[in-house]
Amino acid sequence: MTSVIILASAGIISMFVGIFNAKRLALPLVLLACLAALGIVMFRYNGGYDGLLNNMLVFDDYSHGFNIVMILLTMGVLTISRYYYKDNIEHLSDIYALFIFSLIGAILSVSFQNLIMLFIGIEILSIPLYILATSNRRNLFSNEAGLKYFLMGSFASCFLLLGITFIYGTAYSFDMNAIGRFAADNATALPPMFVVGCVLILGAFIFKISAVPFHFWAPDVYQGSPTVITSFMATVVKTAGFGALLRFLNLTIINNPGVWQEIVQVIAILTLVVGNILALYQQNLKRMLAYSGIANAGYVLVAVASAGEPTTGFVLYYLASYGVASLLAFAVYTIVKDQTGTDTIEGLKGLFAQNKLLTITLALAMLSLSGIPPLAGFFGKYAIFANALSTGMVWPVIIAVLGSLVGVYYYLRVMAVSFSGGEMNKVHVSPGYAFVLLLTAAILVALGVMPDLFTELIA
Amino acid sequence: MDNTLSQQLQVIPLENYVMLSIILFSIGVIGILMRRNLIVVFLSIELMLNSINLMAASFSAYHNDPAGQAFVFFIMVVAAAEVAVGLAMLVMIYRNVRSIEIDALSRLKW
Repeated sequence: MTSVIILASAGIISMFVGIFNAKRLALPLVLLACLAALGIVMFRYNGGYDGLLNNMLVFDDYSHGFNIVMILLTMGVLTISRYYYKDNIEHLSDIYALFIFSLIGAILSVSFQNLIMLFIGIEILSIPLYILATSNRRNLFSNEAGLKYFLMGSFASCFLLLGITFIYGTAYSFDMNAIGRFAADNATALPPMFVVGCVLILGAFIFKISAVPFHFWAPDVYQGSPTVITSFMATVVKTAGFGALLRFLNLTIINNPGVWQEIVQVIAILTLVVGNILALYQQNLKRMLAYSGIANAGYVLVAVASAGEPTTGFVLYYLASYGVASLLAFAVYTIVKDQTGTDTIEGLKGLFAQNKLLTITLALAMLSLSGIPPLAGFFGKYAIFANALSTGMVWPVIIAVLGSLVGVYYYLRVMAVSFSGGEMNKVHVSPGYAFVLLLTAAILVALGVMPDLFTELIA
Repeated sequence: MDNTLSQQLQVIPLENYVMLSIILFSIGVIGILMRRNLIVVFLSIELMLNSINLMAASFSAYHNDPAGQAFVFFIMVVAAAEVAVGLAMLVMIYRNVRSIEIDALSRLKW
């Protein structure tokens, strides 16, 4: 809880910093707060168990693991944002405050022990994002992205609420332990209203993690939003969505597989097929990364469908590797878009001749996303597939392997284009930005070379 | 907890409250899907949220459990925050495109 309080105070101070005309202080302030929160979470890690607000929020090792990943990813996004917002300093401190508030929502939504807290967490995560998505006020693309995100997001949270109310109406409680006991006691004959409630909540999560059939908002919103916001949505928000989904399943209906397992399997297969095939046809790099995010949600859903104790570690490892690789790709995209004005994949032609560092980090990100050993994406996929096979899920794994073969094509296409020759404007990378790129690439390689380091952390 | 209010409420069967809430919720869903005007779409979202409030309050009254009514307050607060953001967005979009129809913005396509 201390970490949440520190982050919230930093967010509020950051807004005041804006009033007093010291906008440049906002970024160091929120970064320091993230660092402090990270330190506290790591200190509490391993056995620390905080039940707060009458056990509505419980910070256990599950939530600490997700919190570490989400805070680190947020810090990555914030460091990229320094370059992205170098000219535009209007409302800068408000933007950073909203990032931090959204991170707080993410932390709450993976630490809930009560359905009310789940709802509050998801809303605190989403509402700042609606504003951030529209933060480029004069740009019609940004307007449209924000509006679509807002309408779809509030539509989905209505269904989340309906599901919560149905569960309350049958189990007479919002507490996850009480609901878990109710599900276990009535395992043979669950009331239909309870089952419908669980399915509605699953539907709302499927929207948040942008899995098929509720994926259609993701490409539009990702393309239209400012790139920094897109990278936040693709990494932190997706991690939070999966963290909340897995926590919900683990605490309530994990022992009633009839209610959710087949649904999640079917959704995983659909997501893999649709995400990978549509990604093939994209010309816009950001839009391609959005479809790649949908496809990657499919791989994680395969892991979720084979849920059990060891799965949590694999899910978190996969999300971390996907998050770091996407962050790297978005960092390269930000700088290329800013200096050459191109946003298509073809526009990357000649990048290697202009800037070796950008090309190599982009190639690393793409290799990891496509799952080439020894990078992190390979071990993540391998662990998920092996675990799913051991629980007897053959079809989802076959589709997932075929999907990742298709994935190799569109990821390596980006890489091949960036290595090919062509005309391109000069691209200059400042030393600080180069350091961030190298550090992120080093984390990506370290995750791949030493996966034990990380899986020990969560198991 | 045998107070008179919850006895009075229980004259009407719980099913009727649930059916009414679901009908209101469905009207909201249809409104979001069919109407083009953004203000009407926001109204439909409010209708959905308030139908859920009604359902939560009636469950709460029938089970003599105050948690459901506390939940209603949380929903109200969040709904207010959401609509504040939504209306701000609407004003901004009206300034840019001089229209509040949903179709006025459709530049992003695959």
